[in-house]
Amino acid sequence: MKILNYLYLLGLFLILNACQGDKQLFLGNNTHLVVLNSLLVAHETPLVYVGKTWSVTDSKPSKTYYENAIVELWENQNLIGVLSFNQTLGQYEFPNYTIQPNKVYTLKAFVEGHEKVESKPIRIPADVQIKSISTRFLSSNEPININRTFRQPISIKATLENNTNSGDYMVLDAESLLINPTDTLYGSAAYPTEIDPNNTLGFEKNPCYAEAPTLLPPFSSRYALAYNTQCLGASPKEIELVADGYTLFYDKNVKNSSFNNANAIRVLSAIYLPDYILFRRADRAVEGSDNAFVPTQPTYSNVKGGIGIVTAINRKIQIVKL
Amino acid sequence: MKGVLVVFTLIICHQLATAQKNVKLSGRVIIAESGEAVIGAVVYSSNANQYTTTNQYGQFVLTLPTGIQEIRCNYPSYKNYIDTLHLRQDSTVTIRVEPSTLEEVIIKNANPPSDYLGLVRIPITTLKQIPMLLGEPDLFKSLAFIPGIMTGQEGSTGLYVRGSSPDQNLVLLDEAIVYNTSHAFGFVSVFNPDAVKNMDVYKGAFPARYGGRIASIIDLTMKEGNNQRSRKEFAIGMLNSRLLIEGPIQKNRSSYLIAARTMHTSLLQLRQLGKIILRKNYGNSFNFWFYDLNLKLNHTFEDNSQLLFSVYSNHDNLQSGSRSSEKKTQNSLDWGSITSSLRYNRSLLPQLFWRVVGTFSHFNTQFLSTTVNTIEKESSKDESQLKNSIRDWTIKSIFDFTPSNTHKISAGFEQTFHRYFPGQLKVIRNNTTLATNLNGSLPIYTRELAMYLEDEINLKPFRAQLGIRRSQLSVENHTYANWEPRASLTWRLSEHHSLQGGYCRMQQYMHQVTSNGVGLPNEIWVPATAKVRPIRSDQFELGWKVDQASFHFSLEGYYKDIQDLLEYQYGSDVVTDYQKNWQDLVITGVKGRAYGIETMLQKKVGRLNGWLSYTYAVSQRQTPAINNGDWFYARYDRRHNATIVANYQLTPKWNLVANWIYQTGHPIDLPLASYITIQGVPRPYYTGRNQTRMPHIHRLDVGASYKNITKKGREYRWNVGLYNAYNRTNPFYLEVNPVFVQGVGIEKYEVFQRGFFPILPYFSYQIFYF
Repeated sequence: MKILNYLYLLGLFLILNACQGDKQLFLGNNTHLVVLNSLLVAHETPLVYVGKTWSVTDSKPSKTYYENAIVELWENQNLIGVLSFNQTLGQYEFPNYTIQPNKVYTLKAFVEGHEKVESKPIRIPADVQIKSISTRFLSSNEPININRTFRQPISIKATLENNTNSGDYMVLDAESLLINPTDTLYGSAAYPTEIDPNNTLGFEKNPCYAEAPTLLPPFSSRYALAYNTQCLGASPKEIELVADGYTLFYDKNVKNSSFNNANAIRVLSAIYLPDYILFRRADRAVEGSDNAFVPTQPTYSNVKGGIGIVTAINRKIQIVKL
Repeated sequence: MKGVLVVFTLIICHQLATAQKNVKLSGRVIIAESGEAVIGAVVYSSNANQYTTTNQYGQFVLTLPTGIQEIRCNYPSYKNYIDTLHLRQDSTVTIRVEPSTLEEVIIKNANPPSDYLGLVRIPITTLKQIPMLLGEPDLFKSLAFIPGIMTGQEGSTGLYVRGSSPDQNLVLLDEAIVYNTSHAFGFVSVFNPDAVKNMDVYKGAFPARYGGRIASIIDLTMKEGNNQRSRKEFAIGMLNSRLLIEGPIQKNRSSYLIAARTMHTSLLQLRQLGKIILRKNYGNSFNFWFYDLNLKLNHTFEDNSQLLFSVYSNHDNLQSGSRSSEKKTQNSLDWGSITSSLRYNRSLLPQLFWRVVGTFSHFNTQFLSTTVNTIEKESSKDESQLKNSIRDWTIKSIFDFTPSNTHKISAGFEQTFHRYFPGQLKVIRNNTTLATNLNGSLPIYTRELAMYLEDEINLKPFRAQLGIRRSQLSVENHTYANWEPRASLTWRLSEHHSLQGGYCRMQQYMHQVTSNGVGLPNEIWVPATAKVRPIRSDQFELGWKVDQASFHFSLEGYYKDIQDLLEYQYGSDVVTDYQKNWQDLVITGVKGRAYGIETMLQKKVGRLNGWLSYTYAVSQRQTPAINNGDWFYARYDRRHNATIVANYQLTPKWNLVANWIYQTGHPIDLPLASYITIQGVPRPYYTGRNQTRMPHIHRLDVGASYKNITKKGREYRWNVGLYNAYNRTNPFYLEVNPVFVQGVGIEKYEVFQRGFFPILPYFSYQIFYF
């Protein structure tokens, strides 16, 4: 009888779990759109990507970009210039020009066989103004509002002036490092003290906070907390980060990495336009079995005639010795 | 409104004055062998050429001239009743109908003339014959073979009626609201087919006595119990077993009925379940089970008044657990409903029937996760509990007045007290309670009030149903009050042809917040509030029907305008966003429209009988917050739906059935292409909500049943068959998965069609004891 029970259960399990799920679908490229992407960084030369779409179930083409597009940079109604294609980067560049804070730019791209693709007017954020910055080591019994273990906690406090348009985001990130005689290979990331383990800020959906990529090596793979200036009013924002002063460094002399105490903090402060945050929030594709339960968000795009994002940041990097 | 009342009063006075020339023949139609009341039987006088149909309690009133009258009664699968009465004064009769022989059934298996616009009434015996998943008869899923009614994903029980969502269907069991209609995550409906006597489905032209939902009314009546002799039914199938016991408490006067159904795995895994609960075993364990239970008592008094009491309960439970020497984890998901109704009815006059009804409904879901860590004899407990529930108390009183054959007037009053509890939350960390009801979704109490007046007017060749309903919701010091006019007209062009038209306005004072519509218990009932308005729909319909003795043909078209629907904000979910109030997670004021054409051709008699149906339907939504304010197809949009149901009586013992269904795939979000983002990585490009469609669904099911008598004289029945006979892979959902390549990142995406049900053979056995 026991065997029968097991056989019955096994049969039922096999029937109910017999997902005929291995039927793979191949989707065509239902839309041949021109992609226009650019992150305009204040005080840097513009780089623009003009690319194509392909079927989601096809492998990525060896060249996803157009090499012969005409890409124009406009400031208000004035044509600044036509960008040239850089084969190495796979992007269009304008080497003799730097993006200026507080100016408004538009990008236009013309690809043969497609309609014109145009960004909306992009305002470059003003320069970041740091009112004050200070660092100090914390004692081990000092309360830190994040659920991480630090061997040697360092507090980084910076006060940023809210001098940008309401709705822009302010970002502060930091990394402890060892400078002189040997550069740090991997610094210890800093975390804002406002994030608690339960994520009560709910920054994924909270209109006052967002998760933003730091966009610059060595920070490029990390995400920092971005503050919506709309929620700050006119007052400056004091942000506190905590980093571990016990850092991993690479010793060129012995060609090995080891731990040691940090002696400096690299600080990134930046202002992001809200488009970048909107793009990030929408860019959470639902994958796997979640497709059965969770609706997907549409891709955020702010260009006309195609898809993509043209946005801007203004950033400042400085090293503060401990 | 005053004008309407004056007209009704004049009609009643006129009818009372002219009624002096005639007499009233009233009474009940019951099944001779069980004493069960017959719903929808046609009672008519061939001399006077007058007919009527029995109500939910088997009662009828006919106004006839004095003298000799030949009274007939028709009901499918039962012999025609014929009697001759000499009427001198108002009289009361009890008509006892007897089952037909097989040959009689084959020759005359006609349904009662369902020429009410929007009403579908198919005998339960017919619906039970349609093969379903694992051979389990399923009344709800069988409705998907009716034009205008569709199911969600394959295998699910949620019904999409004329492009509306499942929460817009009012499901009543003995007049109590049933909120949860799904067992086993939607694969099985919660109603035990053996315990159900009748199911009326209204898709439109709603009588004024119904309200509270905008899409459909599914009115189920439980069997009352055999008041002639004790009887038992037992059935065993591949998924569950069913037992029904009924019999008289006092012959001809009172009876009882108990019906139960349970999933087999629950019994086979009881030992394991016990170990999970007692935490005596190590390793991982998993169990799922469901049951439902029906109980009904009824008593008929000397004056033919009736008292009926019924209770219904359904429950699902999913348990999983694991245990090691340091850690014990237990997760459970429970959901279920309890409904109860107490009803009393009596004839105050031959033409005046009164009933009072009290009902109770409760639906709740609970997720509980407990982890106990033990380190060096020190235990710490983490626990998360999330519950949501809805509870109703309802009282209603209804008068049915039939002054003549020309008018059937009904008036009633009902009041419902709701308590919604959309998110009870409890979080314990390290033995310390951190949070209770963090999200602020505290209980909301509402009071729903309704009054109605309706009249069914028969002025040959026209029949009209006119009604008005006044509904009101009180919530959070806010009151919504609305008039709901209802009207339908049937014009009998000839004995067999009729044209019909109708209009109705419906209000729905509750919403179901759901992000998937799959039938999972994360679908939460919430009320209209001061911030979230009730749903309103206006439906217009036209129909043409041909009803011959051997076949029935219908063609209906409809248009629905819907206001104040809810949609989820992108990326929101009531369960995962438990820290927020649900009212902050939804998009309000969404508009909707649905339109379509439905047709059905039914062969009613002969060894081979059945029907073909086809529906063309469109369902759309619009809100500035989605797809730039453009109209988009709702998840409930199915463009084409075709069904074939065939039943062949091979021999008196063998019966063959086959059904085929086709549905256009529902709208979903699928990426249109891949592209390189500003971060330099390939990502799928999604344009907006419901911009693409699932692959279409079609399936053939075949079955055979054999019935015979055992040596002890007990009837038994075998059912065998194949679900999805040609093994079509029908999609349940589509999965989009990235393919990573070392050093490259995401190379491409793979899209898989996930389906649950390949070809599935089934069998079941049923035996009847007396």
